[in-house]
Amino acid sequence: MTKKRVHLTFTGKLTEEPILWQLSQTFDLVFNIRQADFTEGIGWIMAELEGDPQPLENGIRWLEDRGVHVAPIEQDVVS
Amino acid sequence: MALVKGLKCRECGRPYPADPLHVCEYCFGPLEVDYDYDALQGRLTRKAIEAGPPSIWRYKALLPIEGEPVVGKHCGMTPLVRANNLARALGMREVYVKNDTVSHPTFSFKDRVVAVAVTKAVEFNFKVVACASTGNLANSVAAHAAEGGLPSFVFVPADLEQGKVLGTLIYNPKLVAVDGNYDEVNRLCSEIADKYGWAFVNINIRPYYAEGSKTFGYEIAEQLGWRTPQHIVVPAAGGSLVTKILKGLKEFDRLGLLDGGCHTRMYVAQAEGCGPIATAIKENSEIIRPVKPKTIAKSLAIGNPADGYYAYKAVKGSGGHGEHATDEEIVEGMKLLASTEGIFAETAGGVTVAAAKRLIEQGRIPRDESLVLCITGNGLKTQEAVASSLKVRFHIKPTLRSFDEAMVSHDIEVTPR
Repeated sequence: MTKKRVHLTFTGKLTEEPILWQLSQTFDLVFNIRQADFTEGIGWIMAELEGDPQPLENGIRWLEDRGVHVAPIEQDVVS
Repeated sequence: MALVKGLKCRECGRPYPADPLHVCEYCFGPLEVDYDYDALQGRLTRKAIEAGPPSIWRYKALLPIEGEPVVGKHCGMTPLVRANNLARALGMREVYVKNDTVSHPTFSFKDRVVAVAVTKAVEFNFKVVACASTGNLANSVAAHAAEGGLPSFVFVPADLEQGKVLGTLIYNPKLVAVDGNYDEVNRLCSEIADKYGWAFVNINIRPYYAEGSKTFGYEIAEQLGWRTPQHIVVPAAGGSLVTKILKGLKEFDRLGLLDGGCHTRMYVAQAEGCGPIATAIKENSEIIRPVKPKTIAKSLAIGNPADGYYAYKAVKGSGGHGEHATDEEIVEGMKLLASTEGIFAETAGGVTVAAAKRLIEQGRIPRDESLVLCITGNGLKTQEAVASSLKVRFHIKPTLRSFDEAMVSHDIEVTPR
């Protein structure tokens, strides 16, 4: 099992969808939310995702394909 | 006089030991250095600071190192220039330029943070230092690692401009060019930092690294005669600098080192093509919306700024504002600073000047109040930004006649003696 700590940003309609639940069901991943903030039309979640390495990679790509911005919890580390 | 109590989570306040940690294990919030200010009260005086070396290390009591600095001994104490010509051009009474274009050794304010980070890395007994960068940070980490005799890894996007690559390679780091889009490079570097036991200056050493930026604020206050200006405009990439300048000024105030207290309004300057913090400030949104950078101000091209929220709070809490600058305005800002004050700043400097100009025109910065512009890097690093707009106007034969004709044809009056 592999763990990844991610910072997810949601905009527009995505803020109203149960995306982490869908991610968990589709890729058999466990998620553990540590912080989140949502307001109208925008929100973010800091969470730990846990699962087998390949499904975890696939799940992150799936999130990006849905329009979720996925970053490490440090956010931009290239500066 | 090292008075670090430890680290503290900026979100939930949980305390941690002063170790190479950067994230709260409970809430994933960022960690920050926590000082024992009560113990410093009355012990850190203006006299003691003024008797210190002409570098950032005169403020060592407020930096998170335990022993003596091992690198960057000449970093800091850059000029605070009374910019009367620029003030006239902007229609202001009192403008100063804090000029880190001449920062030692790599000509950007990153030398301040890296000097602290590499010294701390040595104190932690790390054997390798590293960073992920698109320019100034790469230059500075490679240079300071060389000075400290440490091997370094520098990760850069594969399409980085040749000038910035050369300005890093010359110090002989292990420079790794990474293929992939920005988000992929970003995630990879975070994973590398997690996997290897290196001092990744802006990741696992970040709480210590970021404290170096406070010296930018300390110097402004000391060089103004132990007072603070009414307004400071700061360029923002990740958003850390504006928060740390304000933190530095507030620390000075708390320790009784300032005349008149600290009532400075802080302003964030960003490019229109990558201005998520300035946008959030304008829209009164505490949530920063990530953007895909598209600007000539590459050193500010951080689309998902780690300290965006804290920068927002610092600016709003001080009564300041945020403003953007277009690429055209950035180039004009660079030219204005160079032609009025003889200071060639990188594109980030153009952003600062251009955003300040807008803020003055909007009346947010009153014309009769004092203003400091934070100029954070040297223009020789980003010459390509202005190359197409600067031309040689006069091309003559090696004769006096040819020169005179050129002057006449361009309507330039030159009077023989």
